[in-house]
Amino acid sequence: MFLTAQRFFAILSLVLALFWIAISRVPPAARLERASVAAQKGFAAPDFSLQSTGGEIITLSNLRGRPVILNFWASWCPPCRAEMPTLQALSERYSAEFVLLGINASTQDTLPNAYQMIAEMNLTFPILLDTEGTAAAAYRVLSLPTTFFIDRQGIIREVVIGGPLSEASLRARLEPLIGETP
Amino acid sequence: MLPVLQIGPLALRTPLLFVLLGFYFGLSFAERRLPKEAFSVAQLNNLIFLSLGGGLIAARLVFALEHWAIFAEKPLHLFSLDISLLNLWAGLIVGILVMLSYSQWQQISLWVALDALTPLLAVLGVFLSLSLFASGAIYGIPTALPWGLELWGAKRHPLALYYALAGLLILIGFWRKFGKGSFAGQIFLQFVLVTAAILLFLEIWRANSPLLPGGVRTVQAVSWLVMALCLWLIDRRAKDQP
Repeated sequence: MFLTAQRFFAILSLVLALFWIAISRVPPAARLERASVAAQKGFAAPDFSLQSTGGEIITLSNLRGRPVILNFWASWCPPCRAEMPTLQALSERYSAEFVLLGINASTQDTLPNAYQMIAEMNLTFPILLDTEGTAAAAYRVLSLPTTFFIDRQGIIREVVIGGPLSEASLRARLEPLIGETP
Repeated sequence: MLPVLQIGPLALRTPLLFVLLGFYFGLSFAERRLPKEAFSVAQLNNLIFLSLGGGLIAARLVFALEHWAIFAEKPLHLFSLDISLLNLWAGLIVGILVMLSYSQWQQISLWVALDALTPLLAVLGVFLSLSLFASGAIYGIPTALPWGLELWGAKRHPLALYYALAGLLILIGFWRKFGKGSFAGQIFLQFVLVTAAILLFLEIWRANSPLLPGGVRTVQAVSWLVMALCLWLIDRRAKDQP
């Protein structure tokens, strides 16, 4: 095969690209950065301790070993209201297999309204009150609802901003987490 | 990063907004740069919307098959407006197959069709990068450089903005070339070649690269194969010209 200037540069560019791929390889130590803490898919979920409406203090890190769904909501938010029955049904269906925590963004809500909504909708899963806004800040919640799917190791596997989440969407994300070996 | 733009009670998902804007501007640009003697505007629109429609239907059906138990219980979920219930790879493959079938049916050369779509792809590339920036889904490794952005607990390379800038430079570079290749498919192949080369180059600054064994970055490996294929096709097609 006759090597034209065009072919020579084509081969040269491919060889240089291979060299670039070789020097771009990720060393094992650098892969550990993925385990650092941030409110983003692939990172360890930021820890928090919040009081539930039942008066119990719930710490996220104590739930390690079980999949967790965190759902940030407020009573004035229509999509939050729309997805609550689906979340309630999900928590009843898989109650033994995962933990659902509803986190009321209490700095953007009033407690009477939040309690009224919980009663109206017969919500039985734990509702935490983020009265100082610390959890919302740690999770960079910019819009409500925002939902985090956390695996058994405490790693965020999915973040869904906005809603309402459909049952199919919730189950398609939750069931693989439940199915993972503890 | 700005995943949501709150305007009163309305929460606009900015990543999706950028994708829609990319399609709108890309399609308008592609229509203006269309070689009308080989391709009509109606054919271009049909090609895009049939591919998109076919791709979307396939993406939903394959997702439903993957999560059969959920959809068998409530089949109406098949018509859900939730865009997360899609298998994007299935959508892409079927979209391409629909495009091939339509081109064959309309007796349009596939290479002419791909050249006609290149302006859309170039504009879409810029907007997709902005969409990735808004979602924060792709982010760079930590840096001390002054243009680093605070994200996910560190000051990082704004990788998606690098993509957007590179996409803009590609668009400017190809501006006068659209519709003027010396052989059918040349513009498309050159555009894909340059895009793959830039992705391969920029990937070194990405923090969340999917990896192959040995720490090799998947995007770089795929980009290299795409580059090799494009170079081979350009060489072959140029040689076949009278």
